[in-house]
Amino acid sequence: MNNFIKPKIILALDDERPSLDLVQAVFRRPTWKLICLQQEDQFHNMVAETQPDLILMDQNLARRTGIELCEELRRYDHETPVLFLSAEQESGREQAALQAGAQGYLRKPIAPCQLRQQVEKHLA
Amino acid sequence: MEKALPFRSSTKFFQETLDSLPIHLAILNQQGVIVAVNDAWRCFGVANQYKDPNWGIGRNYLGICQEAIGPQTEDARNVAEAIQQLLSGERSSFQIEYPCHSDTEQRWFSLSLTHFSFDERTWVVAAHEDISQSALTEQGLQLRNRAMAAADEGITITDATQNGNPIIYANSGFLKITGYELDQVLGRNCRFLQGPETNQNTIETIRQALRTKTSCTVELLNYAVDRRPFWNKLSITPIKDEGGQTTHYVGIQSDITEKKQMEATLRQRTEELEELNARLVDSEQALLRQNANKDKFFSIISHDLKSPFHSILGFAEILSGDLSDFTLEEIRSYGNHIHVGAQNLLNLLENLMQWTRLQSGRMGYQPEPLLLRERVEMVLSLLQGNLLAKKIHFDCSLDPEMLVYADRTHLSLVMQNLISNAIKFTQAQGKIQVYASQQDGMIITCVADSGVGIASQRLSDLFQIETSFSTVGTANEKGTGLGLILCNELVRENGGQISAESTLGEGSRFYFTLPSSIRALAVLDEDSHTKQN
Repeated sequence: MNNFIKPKIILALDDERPSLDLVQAVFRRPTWKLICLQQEDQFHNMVAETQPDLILMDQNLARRTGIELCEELRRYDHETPVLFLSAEQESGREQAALQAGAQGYLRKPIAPCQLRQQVEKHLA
Repeated sequence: MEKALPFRSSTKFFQETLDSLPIHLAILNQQGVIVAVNDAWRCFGVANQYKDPNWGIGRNYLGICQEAIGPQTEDARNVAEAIQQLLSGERSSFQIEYPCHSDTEQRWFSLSLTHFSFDERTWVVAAHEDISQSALTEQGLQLRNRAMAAADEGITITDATQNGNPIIYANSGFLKITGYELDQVLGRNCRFLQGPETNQNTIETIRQALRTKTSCTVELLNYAVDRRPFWNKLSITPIKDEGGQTTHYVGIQSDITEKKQMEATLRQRTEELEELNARLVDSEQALLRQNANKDKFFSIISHDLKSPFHSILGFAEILSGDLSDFTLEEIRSYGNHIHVGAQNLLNLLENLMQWTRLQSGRMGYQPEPLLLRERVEMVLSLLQGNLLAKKIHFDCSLDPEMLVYADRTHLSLVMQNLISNAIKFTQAQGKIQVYASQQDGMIITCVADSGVGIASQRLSDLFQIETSFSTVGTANEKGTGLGLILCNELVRENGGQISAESTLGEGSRFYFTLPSSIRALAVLDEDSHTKQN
């Protein structure tokens, strides 16, 4: 009998390498397949190519914002859950992200176990 | 030739003649009794309701005067005395004007007393003439004269029919304003009031009004008799005769010097207030902008402070857990992440502290001559590890004797920030150069790298708090842009300027200027001499 569990694909977009490395360390088990992306201009291609089960999105990217990309995503994809993971303090940002179509807004720094918990909740 | 009329006919003739006169005539005998009157006398009696048609005949005119009471008592007594003097031959005539008002109108009369001899007796003729009209006119004229005399404004009348349009009347107001005496102004043209600063365009306006025989009102600078200037508000109006010809001009003058001074003061105060207001508005807007910029800036700072903690705490938690699934390489990598994150955080905090000290004035400023190369080499010793880690070639071609005039700490911070930025944004095995030149008493230092470069549209934003932005180096070194803001403020504090040039993908060049030591010493020497003198 071949027990084969398809890993959940998580696409993580962040312009800071240390953040991506941390996410990779948090989601290193075989139940997840983590795809790290540092260049936001490749985001939509990567979504089309990898068909992720969940997207982890940073807000402050190099040239654009996570909210802008989320709005663009929602024009063609209404299913894939998006969780923001950002250090930004500005009030109203969480509400804006939810209005852009995100399912959650997590603030950095976040404990690895909490991050795992939130991702699993939205993958369920 | 007509024959003389017989006496009886002559009497009727002369009676008719006397009756035709408008003057009220009465003839008095030696006792002062009225013996004859004319029609005008009789009509006056009827009109004033005296019942006797020959009112007065047989009455003693002298007695009436002597018994008079009331306001005209003195006049009546004078008349009585005059009649007696006429009868006695002491005087030949007498004349008096007196009021005789009725219930309905004001009347004035002129009484003339003369005498003649007839039939060896002296007779007195009393002639009363109604001068009410001329008296009223005279009263009106006198009232107007008193009004003109009493006015504070100057009033002049000039005769336009005479050559030079001379002044023929000037009231006391005019004399008070100008300080002249009446005999100094009558017969003269008003131009004697003009002086060196009287505006000629205004004079032309007056001349134009005179040429066209129209009115005008002007404000012009005139001069009093003591040559004190005063502002005169002058209105001139032509006076025309019945045929419509201009014969005279009336001029009204007001001394508005005080009003002009107050206007000037008010204008000046208004300008000062407007300028102050504009400055206040500018200050307010600048403060609002500064507040907005600082809010934005601290938003960026708080983000950039929190980011490193995300990786530091995250990896620390992982490393503090079960490591049995991790390879040594992964553990080493996570430890390195903690180290780099902590280092970035420390750098950011150090820059923030320096910037805060600068803003609050606690950094101090003590310029001195400094060897530029020596400062660079000191900074290089602190950053040697970073250079080696990325195998970046560093070339410093500064003249060892080149001196700048600056604060030691400031210069060190500027060099440290620029060189560490250059290292951050240069790829492994890239190149960094530091060189300098001298121009117009300033030392121009350049830190050039062969790194990733900066987009041209962002170059102007580099040094301003309003437009600072976070960047990531070629080895993921984190930067908020605070270092460049600090460099800008420090260089300016030391009398210089900072700028940048860059080409995306090829590298950047950061220039800053500082006074050369020789120039600075020369300026200091000059200032010292000025103070001594």
